[in-house]
Amino acid sequence: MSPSGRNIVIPHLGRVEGHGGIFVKVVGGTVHEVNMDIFEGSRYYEALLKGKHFLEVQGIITRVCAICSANHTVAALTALEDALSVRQSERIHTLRGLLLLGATIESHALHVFALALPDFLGFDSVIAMAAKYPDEVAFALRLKQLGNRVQELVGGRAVHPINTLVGGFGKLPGHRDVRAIRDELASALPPLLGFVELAASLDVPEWAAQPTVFVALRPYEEAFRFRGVSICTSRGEEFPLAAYRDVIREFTVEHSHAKHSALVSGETYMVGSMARLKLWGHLLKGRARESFERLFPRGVVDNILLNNWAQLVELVHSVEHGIEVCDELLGMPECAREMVPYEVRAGRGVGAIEVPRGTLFHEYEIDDEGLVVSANVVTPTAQNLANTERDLRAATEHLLADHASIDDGQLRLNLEMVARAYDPCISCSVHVTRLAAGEA
Amino acid sequence: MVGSSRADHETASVEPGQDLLIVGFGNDLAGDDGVGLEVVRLLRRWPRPSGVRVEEGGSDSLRLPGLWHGEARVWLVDAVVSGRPPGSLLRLGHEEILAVPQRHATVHHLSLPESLRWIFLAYPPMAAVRYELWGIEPLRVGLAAGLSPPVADAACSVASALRRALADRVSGAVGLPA
Repeated sequence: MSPSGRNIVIPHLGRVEGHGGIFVKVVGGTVHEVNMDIFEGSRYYEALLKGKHFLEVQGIITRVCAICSANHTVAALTALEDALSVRQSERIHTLRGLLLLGATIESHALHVFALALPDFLGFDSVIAMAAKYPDEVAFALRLKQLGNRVQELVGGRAVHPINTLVGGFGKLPGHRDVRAIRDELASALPPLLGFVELAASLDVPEWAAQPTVFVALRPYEEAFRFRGVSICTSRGEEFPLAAYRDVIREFTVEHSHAKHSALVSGETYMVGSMARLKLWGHLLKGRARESFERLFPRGVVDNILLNNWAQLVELVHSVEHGIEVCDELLGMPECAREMVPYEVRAGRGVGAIEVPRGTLFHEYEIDDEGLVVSANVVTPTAQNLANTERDLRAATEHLLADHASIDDGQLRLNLEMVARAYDPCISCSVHVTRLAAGEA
Repeated sequence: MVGSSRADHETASVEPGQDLLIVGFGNDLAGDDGVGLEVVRLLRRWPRPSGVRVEEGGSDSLRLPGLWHGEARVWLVDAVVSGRPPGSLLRLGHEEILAVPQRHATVHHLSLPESLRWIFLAYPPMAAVRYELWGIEPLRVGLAAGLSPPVADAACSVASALRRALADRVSGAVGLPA
């Protein structure tokens, strides 16, 4: 490879066909071009929803993603209830919070343990890790399944919830089932803390570090929460949720099917676990607070590779807070159903929540018959793409400066680690089995 | 002796210890990727022997432990890319499917073989499960609703083949790889 002209091509990020890749062009030791090409289908859903009755929205929009289906459901319901001026009851709010915690446990458990940790431990997969860490590998899958069961309990099934409705729930979980989930969460906490110690023992390389602007929602109460009341940046700015279009500017780029995002200032930014810890980590309590201090002894530093550890802290928080939420539910009188009455009327509403990959925005306008006039969904991955490219550029420059003879294979692996650290939801679509070893 | 009539299927049972779970995987919105789901939906239209359950697994094969109720055998129906003509059926036995080297199917979904290997490690009670894969070659996989014509035809054929295989199991003429 000539040092004066070098292309680093990762055609299929994460061994994904046709859904995401990385292209880096280096000329004379200078990075000339960095593209992260993404195919993302959520834009089609917005057009699909036009003219549909608002009661159909949840069933359609939850199909945006299999692993984020509960999150899209809660965001959509929140936006529609905002449009209809529906005020959630305490129980509905609490149950939806538990649903979001279950989704976070499922998503973070898979990403941290199966997709990120092998990179740091020097294994090529979670299965290979089992040779040295058999108990940890077994626990990781059981924790993911626990996240599924929490979603089943609240949403009616593990994927694409059907029990969640505008104004409430079709069926409320009984105390016996809530108590069983609470006990499972409690028993998951000790082994999870073992992972914190394992992560704390690992060195995180600094070649991906660079200053970043972080964005996250201000929690609705003085605690670490995944639902919020305003948009905040790590520069101290704060904006109302309804003004999100004025804060975040989406734009198209030639090389990607997905929109990119930047702040109105033109700066790229990061949403997700590390952004939440940067802005609100001081609100963590209990074992999550201890885990945060263990893994981030100097506070959150600007190195995207640490987003994996930020997700681990959020896993501890989600399990720990899940126990508290179950206790809250057990303290409420048992009943079969709860719905807040409402009248259909024209309106516009915004729903913004913090989901595993960052801040998710849903906005709907409905007419006086309840038909959707317009829909807008801004996903965390779309918001992170421009910042991902910026981090890929910085990482390439640092790696070339520090290791001029670095080979393409190592460079590709390191760039994949950067992209993977964002936990991008490139596509939740394809599930084919491939028999060709080269495409493994 | 069990034949192929509806009444026979309604009353027959598989051999003790041979309980069977059939799971279709895929995504309806990804073209032929949804063929596994279509097959199990077709299969559900017909009566089945007791001891046989049919489930939709969606696009995350790691959810299999949540669908499993202790069955000794699990048949998996999924789209399989092997270079054969679209709609071709490829049956893989237990050892063959576990040996497929594929890892990730997407950035946050493991492939079916990788998922089975992880489940083997994480769920000791499932370590004794014997798997079989009924794989169907897709024509197109991407954002699209509905199956391509050859794969839609294959879904019907495979559902019928599964139905015959269930009848064979009840009658004792089990044609499965070990």
